[in-house]
Amino acid sequence: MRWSFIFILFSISLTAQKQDSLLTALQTKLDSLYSFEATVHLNVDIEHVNMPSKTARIQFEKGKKIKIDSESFIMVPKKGLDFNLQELFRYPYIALRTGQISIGGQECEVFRVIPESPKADFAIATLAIDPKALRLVRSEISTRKNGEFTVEYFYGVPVDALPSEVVVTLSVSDIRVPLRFLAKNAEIDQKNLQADERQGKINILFEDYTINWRNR
Amino acid sequence: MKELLAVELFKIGKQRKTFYGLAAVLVLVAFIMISAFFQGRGFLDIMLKNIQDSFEFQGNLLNAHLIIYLVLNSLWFHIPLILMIVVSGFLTSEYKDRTVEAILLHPVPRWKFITSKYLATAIFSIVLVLVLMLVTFSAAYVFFGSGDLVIFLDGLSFFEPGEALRRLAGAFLSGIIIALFYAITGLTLAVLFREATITWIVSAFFLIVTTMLLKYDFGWPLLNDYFFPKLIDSWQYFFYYDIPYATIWIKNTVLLGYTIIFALTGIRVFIKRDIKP
Repeated sequence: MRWSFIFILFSISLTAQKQDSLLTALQTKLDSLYSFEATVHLNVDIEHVNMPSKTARIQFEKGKKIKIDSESFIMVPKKGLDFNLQELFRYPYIALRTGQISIGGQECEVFRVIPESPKADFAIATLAIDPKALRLVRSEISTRKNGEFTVEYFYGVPVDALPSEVVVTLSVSDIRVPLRFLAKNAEIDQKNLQADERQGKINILFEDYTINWRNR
Repeated sequence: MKELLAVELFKIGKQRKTFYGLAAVLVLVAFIMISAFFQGRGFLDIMLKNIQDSFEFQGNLLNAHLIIYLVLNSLWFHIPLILMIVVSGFLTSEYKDRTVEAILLHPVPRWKFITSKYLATAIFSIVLVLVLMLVTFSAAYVFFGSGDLVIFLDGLSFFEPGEALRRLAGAFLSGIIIALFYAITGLTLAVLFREATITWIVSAFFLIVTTMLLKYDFGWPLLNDYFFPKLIDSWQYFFYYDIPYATIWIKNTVLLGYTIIFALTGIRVFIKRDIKP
């Protein structure tokens, strides 16, 4: 029994090493993304949340927090806009190939990425990578603090390196608030904010990209 | 009739209680704005608590439109209360000073006298709501600036500045009908009770009961839809994501119908009854 377990671990280790090359290639490619700017159109699809489509200008620069400028109020998902996966690859990790999956007619390699450091923001991530175009097609990430979320990436043409559309699916608590602002029972209502979890979707369309690659 | 109406408006303009009423409304607006300034952030935190874990927010939600919405909430109770007290005083003070008797000693038809009072009351109510609207919008934009309006009503709804302004203006204009209803009712109660303190107590009682019955389920659709306590929330419908214009239209029309019935009742009682208490 013990030898079987060691053999399985050894096999996984071999698979991980072998598949790491594809992941490393993707990481190298994404690492060369230094900065980009784009206009984004955000559509929030969450039950009990009504929000019109919003337009904003997004600015990404490697190693820095994403900047988003908008004339009106916008809600941006805390996770899912990490295009070069800098959060995912920040600390050493173990990558395991778990098989293949067809997404939108495209055969993708599926990896489980487990961080080795407890400092990592996520507990486990499942990545679906298009090996031909070397692009991320889908990621499912379980974070330590912000729950689970799934990001689907859609690309305009085969050579595009950055997506033209991103769909972030996440869990959102159902919303209950006190009805009266000036009411003294606001604090009591706050205690009763225990709510059901619901799935929410944020659809983000990108256009007018200005991309700055380094060492590519 | 025009002369009588002009005299009534002149009297309203000359009475100190009119300005006390206006001042009370303005103090109320100032109080709501100061409260919102200090407590608004906490209110927004409560409202957005459940999505704050998943989202980052960009933009200022503690803005003029939220403040105006909070002032609009005073249409439930505070503004009607001030209005009913001030308006009932238009007649009870004349009973007290016996000026009603003095006026009716002249060849002035009773119905013309009391109708001009009702018309002057209606004009005063409309002006009061418009002043409230003007002051609220001006002060809110100066001190808080523009921005998206967030409302919790049948879900969490966000409205962009232009849309928020349209909805708030619509709600204020719809609020004129509500103000008219309470003001006319206040004057009718003054006709019925004549004495100021009794009229104020009955007015306050009427307002409390009406507000309580707004959420009460009568179990009978006709009462739930068309009984007057159920009609005083028409302004709130401007903040549903898809505005139910038909509902607003029906509620306001029926409430206007009640207002006219209450006014006719007051006119009839005034004509039929002996002037001396």
